[in-house]
Amino acid sequence: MVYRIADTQVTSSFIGQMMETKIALENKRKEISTGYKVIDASDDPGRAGTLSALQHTIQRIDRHSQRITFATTLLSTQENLVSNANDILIRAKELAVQAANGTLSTEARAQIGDEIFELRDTLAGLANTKHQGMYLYGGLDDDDPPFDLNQTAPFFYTNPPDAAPAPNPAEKTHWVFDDPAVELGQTDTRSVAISDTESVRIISRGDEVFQGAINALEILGRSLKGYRTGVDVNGDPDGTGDAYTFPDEYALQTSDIQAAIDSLESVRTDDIQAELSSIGSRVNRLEQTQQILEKLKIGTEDARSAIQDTDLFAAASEFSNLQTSLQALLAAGTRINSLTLLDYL
Amino acid sequence: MSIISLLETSRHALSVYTQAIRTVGDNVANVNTEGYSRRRADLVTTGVVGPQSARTGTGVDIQSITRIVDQFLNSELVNRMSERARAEVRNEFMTRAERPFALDNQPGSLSYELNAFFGSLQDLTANPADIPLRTQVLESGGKLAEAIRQSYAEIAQLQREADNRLNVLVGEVNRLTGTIADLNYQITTNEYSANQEALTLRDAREIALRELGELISFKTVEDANGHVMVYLQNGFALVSGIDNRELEFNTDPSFAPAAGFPQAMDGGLLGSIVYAYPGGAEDLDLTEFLANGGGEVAGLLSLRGVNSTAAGQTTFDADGDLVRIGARIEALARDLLVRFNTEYLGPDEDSTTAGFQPSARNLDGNAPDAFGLFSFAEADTGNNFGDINSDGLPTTADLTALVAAGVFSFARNINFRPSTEREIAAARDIDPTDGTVSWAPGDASNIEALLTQRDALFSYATYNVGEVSETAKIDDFLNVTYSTVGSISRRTQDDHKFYAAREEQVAELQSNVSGVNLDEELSKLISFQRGYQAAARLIGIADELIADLLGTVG
Repeated sequence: MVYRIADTQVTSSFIGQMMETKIALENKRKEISTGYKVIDASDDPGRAGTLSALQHTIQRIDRHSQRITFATTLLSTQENLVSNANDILIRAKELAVQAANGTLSTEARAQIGDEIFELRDTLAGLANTKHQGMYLYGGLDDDDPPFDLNQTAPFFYTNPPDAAPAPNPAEKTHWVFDDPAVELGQTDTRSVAISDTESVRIISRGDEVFQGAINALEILGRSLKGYRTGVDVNGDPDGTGDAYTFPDEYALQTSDIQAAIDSLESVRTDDIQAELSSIGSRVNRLEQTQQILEKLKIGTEDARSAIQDTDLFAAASEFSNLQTSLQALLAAGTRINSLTLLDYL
Repeated sequence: MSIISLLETSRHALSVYTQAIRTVGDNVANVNTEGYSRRRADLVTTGVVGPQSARTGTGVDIQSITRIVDQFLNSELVNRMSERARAEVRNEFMTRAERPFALDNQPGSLSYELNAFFGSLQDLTANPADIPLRTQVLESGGKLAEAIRQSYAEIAQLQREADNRLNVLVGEVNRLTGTIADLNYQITTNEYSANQEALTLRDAREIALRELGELISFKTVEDANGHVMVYLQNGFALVSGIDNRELEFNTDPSFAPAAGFPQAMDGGLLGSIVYAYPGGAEDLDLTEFLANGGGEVAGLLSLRGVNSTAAGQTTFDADGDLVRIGARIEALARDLLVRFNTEYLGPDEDSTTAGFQPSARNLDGNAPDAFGLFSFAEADTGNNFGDINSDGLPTTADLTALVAAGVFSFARNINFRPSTEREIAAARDIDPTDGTVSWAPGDASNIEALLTQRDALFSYATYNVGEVSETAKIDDFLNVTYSTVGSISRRTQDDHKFYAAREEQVAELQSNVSGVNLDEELSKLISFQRGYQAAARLIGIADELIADLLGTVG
């Protein structure tokens, strides 16, 4: 039991309590102004590791979202590109149907043939599109376009004969997908991670999407220009093909044009539209993953917030309580110190 | 009693009350003096005179002026001050040590930069030849290395600061033990000659003991001569009678290993607190003993670390909290240097050719060096750019050899090795023939392999850095580092509050015994004043009696 108290004790105890309350007030003010109740690891060491892990997760989700945006942009570009290729094939079919008409002269057919070769070159140009440094259908080979206009054997048609002087006419040339044994990675696909466990293909094999269409246009164009085209066991041009003998082989030419129309339609459905629908489904997957990531981010943010963020209502009320305590302490302190026997002497 | 002796009694009483009032005045004047113990004038009655049938007293005297102290409380207060000072300095340092580990996830922090680095690598896998994405990897790799260097430097700097402060404090301990020994002499001399307590000198010695208690923990015994003997818990006497023994702060004491103690985290040396016996005997090492005690010295030693004399000690074997934190940053740096650099090289391109041929390829088709992703400032031609055993691989054996060669820390100088975008090796050579290069610029298989290491469990004990021993993924290893720093810091905060409250309790009790209460003193003043007035009145009465007597006679 205290039987006497020193004056310095009264003063130091008053100062100590005042400091303690002021420090608590300052801490609470910081908590309110920053919005965080946990900033230093020592504020909640038990959950500091969890908090750091949650922040990592949020940062990872943000990164995944950025990659999804990147992949979506890339696939949209591809979608436009393949859609244009589809339009080209439709236009080529229309021209071919027109050319297959038995009343058209061989010269008129040859003129349509020129337009078909224009379309072929446009299609090859689409297949060689470069976006952000990547050939969209060039596999891993960013240095070299996937399709080359080949004028040398064995992809050089034997007919028509070599032009003198060069250049050779279009019907003598062949757009060919690079040999993967020479251009490494040409037939590889490329994917991008869109979550911790999932990735989506952003670059498909160019040969599978475009080579069939290019070949079909070439065979059609050559027919219209008056040359047959020999094919190998895979149905690809083998470089051979004699000129039709008109007028005897006019009917044969018509029949080849009609066969080429079937080929065109077949590659449009099997390669081009298949790629379009594949792109569509991949874009859908990206959208779904984005939605999942957004939900995951909200959940993770909630968890982080529960550990780290200030409950403003509670903090403001505690701040107010501390203010009242400090006022009371100051009032009591000054009262006690003003009481002394000296006043009565 | 004669009338004359009444005059003498009253005169003496006036003198006694004057002295008593002076004692009160002394107390009032020192009401706010730190370490002042209030005094009390002990009044006693003087002897009696006269025949047995009519004995009368001879008045009042002052037996002594006494310092009001409780030796037990004083001694307990010194102990509590030691505990508080230890906790206080630990709290001060740990508050600063946890700054690099703030949980605001701001750019520049270790956590943010580690995540940003792996994020940029993952971005690169989408388009490995893309220069802007490679720029991002260059930047984030550089920032990660910088964050490691910065965090490490802050901890190393704190260790140095603790060491510097210890050097100063050892001087301060010597000054205080010298003062106490000196006061021992003065107190004995004064008390012998004046035959009463040397009040002010004893107060001064008590203050010196308290100041010493804030630095180290010790025990005291006062002998019959009034000398206070100050000794450590192990019996080592710091002050004995009027002599004190001075401690030394020495980075190369006689008991240090032949090659010297390992470097501190900043490359300097840690001092030991020793007593150098005169005559060339082996120095007495008090460092570990003092680290386990109380006071600021113990707090600083427990943070800074204490060197062990055991063989094969390294920078991160010193036993201290800052070293424990530094060791975790160091383990992280070594992980990047060994595990991630190894993966970055890719598999051996051609197992039929002797030696290791990395299959990783940068945009110019070249393979990286052994320390091709992360390197360190000391890697140069002299040590084959870190690959000291020239096996083409970055291994723990390389790091061990480098440590033996004087590279005590890698976190201190770690850097991101590629300096241009094209230097980043994202692809792998798929031709299994040494010298034949087949790779594609759009190939990200090397980066993808690097990313798998991020989520791989790894035993950090491999690096043999201090006490670091867990098996974890690199992110979790860092998360645990945050928790570890937080736990140490929180414990120091709690300890500081706890020991400050314990000190406050005893300080209050001690103050209640020895402190001055003005109202009490003023009450005494009134009492002594009245005594003085009464004695003065007695002189007046004696004077009147003598006058009456002289009138009768005259």
